[in-house]
Amino acid sequence: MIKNIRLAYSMLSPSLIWLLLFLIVPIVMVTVISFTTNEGYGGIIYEFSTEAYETAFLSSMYLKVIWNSIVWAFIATIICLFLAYPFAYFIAHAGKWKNLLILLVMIPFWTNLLVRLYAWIILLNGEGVINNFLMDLGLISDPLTLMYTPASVILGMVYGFLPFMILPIYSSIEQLDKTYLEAAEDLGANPMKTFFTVTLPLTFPGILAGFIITFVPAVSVFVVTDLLTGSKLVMVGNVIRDAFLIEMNWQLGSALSILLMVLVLLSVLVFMKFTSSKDKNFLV
Amino acid sequence: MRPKTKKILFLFTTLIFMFFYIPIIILMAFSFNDSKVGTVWTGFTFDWYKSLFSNDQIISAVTNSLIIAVITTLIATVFGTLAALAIHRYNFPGKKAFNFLFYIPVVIPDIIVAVALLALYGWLDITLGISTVFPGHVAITISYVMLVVIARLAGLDASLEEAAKDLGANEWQTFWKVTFPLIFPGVLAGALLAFTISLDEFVISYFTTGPGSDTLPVLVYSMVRLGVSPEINALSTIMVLLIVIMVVITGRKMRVSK
Amino acid sequence: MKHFVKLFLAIVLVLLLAACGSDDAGGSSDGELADKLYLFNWGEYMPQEVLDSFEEEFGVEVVYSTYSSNQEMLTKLNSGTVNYDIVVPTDYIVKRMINDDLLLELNMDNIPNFENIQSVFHERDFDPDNKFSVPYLYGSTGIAYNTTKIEGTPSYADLWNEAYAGHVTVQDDPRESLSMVLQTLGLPMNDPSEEDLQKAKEELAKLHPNLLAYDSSPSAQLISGEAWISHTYSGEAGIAMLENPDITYVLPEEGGELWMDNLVIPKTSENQYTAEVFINYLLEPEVSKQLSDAFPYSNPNQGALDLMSEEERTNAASYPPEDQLANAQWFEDLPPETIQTMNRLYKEVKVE
Repeated sequence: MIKNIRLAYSMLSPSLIWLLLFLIVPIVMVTVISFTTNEGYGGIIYEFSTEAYETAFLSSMYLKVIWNSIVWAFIATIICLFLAYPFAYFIAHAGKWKNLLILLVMIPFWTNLLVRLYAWIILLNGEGVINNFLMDLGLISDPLTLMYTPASVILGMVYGFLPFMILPIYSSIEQLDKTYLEAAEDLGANPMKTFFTVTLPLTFPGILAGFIITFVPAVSVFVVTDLLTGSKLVMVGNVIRDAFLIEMNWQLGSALSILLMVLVLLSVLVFMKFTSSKDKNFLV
Repeated sequence: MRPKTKKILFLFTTLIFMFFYIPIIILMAFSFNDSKVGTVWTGFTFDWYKSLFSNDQIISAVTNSLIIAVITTLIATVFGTLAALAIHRYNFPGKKAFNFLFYIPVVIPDIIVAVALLALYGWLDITLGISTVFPGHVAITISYVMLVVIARLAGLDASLEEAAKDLGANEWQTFWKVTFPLIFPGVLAGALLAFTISLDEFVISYFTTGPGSDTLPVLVYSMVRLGVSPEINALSTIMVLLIVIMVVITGRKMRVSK
Repeated sequence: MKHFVKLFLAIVLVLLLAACGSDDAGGSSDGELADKLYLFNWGEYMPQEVLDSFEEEFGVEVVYSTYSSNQEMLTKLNSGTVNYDIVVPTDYIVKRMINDDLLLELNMDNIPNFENIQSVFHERDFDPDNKFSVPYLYGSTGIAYNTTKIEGTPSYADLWNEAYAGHVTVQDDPRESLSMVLQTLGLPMNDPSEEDLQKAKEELAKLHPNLLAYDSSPSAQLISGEAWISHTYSGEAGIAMLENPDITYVLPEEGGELWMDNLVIPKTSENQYTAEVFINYLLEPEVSKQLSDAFPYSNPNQGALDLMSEEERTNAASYPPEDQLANAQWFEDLPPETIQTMNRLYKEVKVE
């Protein structure tokens, strides 16, 4: 028994040490930096200071950025959910076409986000495909502003992260035990009722998993605003990036990172609380 | 499903597929457009592909991406598989905490991992380059490898290992002769996942890469920021086609192994 | 099991060695060229051919990365995670870097081509003895515009014109864009008070809905016709003018800004001699002309100017007429508090 425990620990140790060195220690570093003093032009003085947090909380701007990011990411996630569920439901019931269709979802899933956002720039910009098309048809005389708005941010996020929502929902529908559905039908439930009382509750773990892996990247993304709004709109990801890479204000960047992390972990915990699922493998 | 419901869902699914694919197809089409600016079709050309293949920056970015992905895959696969075996087989104090630790990379935004690594490197005065990118990639991919292998282990018939032991094989022999061949498809799937995640990863690379070691996504980002250009279309087209090939091959493999 | 622990330690060791190994790869002593030279320059500022021909001639590979603002360059440099051999800061930033002891003193014996630089650009007040810096290119920040869309000669105030809504771009940099607004309001751009900045922020917020984008390299948008009027660098305008004959450039009546970018060697460089050879190479008349041909900024190199055609020497973007230059102002450095306030106000405009 003791031997087994030692064996288990030594097998775990490479991963643990790696995660400790390159994940936990760095996050602790960021926490430490968020409480240090800014030398002025950006140097770090290792003296305790809560200045970064004061800036973050006292200037309504930073709270608003975080709030905007959460709202936009939440809207995008909800839209993804409503698009993904019927889509995944259909594919899971597509019989022999199932494998081919899910393969067709894997292609956008693995295509780089930047490439896919770039595709939308070509479509949406003032001289872009959509505007040219509409003007050729004579429907509009001047190009419409399709980019550079909060709507285009949400579009970019939905396009970018929709496959993240589809895959877990699909796998939960696919693994559904058909006997429950038959039982419901035998007991006289109509298809609508069967769906809402049996299918939906049983696929809830898939929905939650999809929600988490869509919301987490969406709330922190900075390339969507960069590429689709001409830097006119910012999300918390942009502010953190700028603080670290441009403005040399690591204290503020660190403080905002910690805030973002806490908020994301809290929301994930809340999501998790919804489910009593023992199936911890839902993320794959 | 009722036929009517099925029809509506079919239409809906088709629309979503169009939503996925139309932008990508248009992007690919314009990589053959003769005009350097704008999105008006002026004629067919292969010029952008030619200039792509003579662009040193792109070639070096592809090389860097591949080097990083290979190193990441090797480390993450070995470490992740070991961890999966430990967690699946043994009960030990603190197992829950370890399990939780492996979920951290999945639920923490990648930008936080990225700035944290940058802070660490800054504090240690480490010069950024290829060797500072892959530690982050490994940190986020170990968990995925582990989860995939655990899933495979869960479907394993434990009696096979017991039979091997009953026949006198020691633990080491049992592992290499019985367990490993059985979980190998899972390990391979995990490795493939790690490789693809690393190739595709942008945020961590963007923060932790140094001069001359840009990865492909980092280069694409800086090109896109300068504006629309048919060269980016050509590069994107190649990237999409590679993904198509990879997805089709793994799809085939999966069907065969089933 | 011990195997795994050993394996792991071995891997860590290899990695550490690899990390250290990359540190001392390129160290070179005086008179000996390094294999690699790390150049950190502005985006759209260095033609690849120049780097290729340098590599061909001297066998030194130039590793080139780019930034889009002085702030960004300083941040990278101060982070302690990169060892660049050459960076290209603007004049007032050179001064700050000298004061902060970030630069190596140049050995002018290795840079004989310095004499090609016009004498007006010698010994400027940011580096009175040219001990640390050599001019690269200079230029201005003003207005690039599309003559088919904009009537008359625009000034900064026209950026706010609602008739151009959705076709205006301004520099994506707190210092640059707020300085432009300060000039438009007639307020001091090099010594703004807290209230001045607050006013400037409010004006910028009014400009925000009119904008197509915040963009420090709008040449592509100008060429495609999507941007009609852009607050941008003269050279960006010059790039657009090469491709689209409708584009022209003017320094606005409010002033516009002048600047000169300079080649310097940071203290962290381990290849000073190679860097100096490269700087000297860039000052060759033919090479220097290649720079301003590709990116039409103003060239301080007399040798390069002598090689230019009359047309090139009177290009509206690279060499604006004297009367336009009279009002233009040079940037001066600001105290850190002001810079942080500007960063914050600029973000506020985008968020609100």
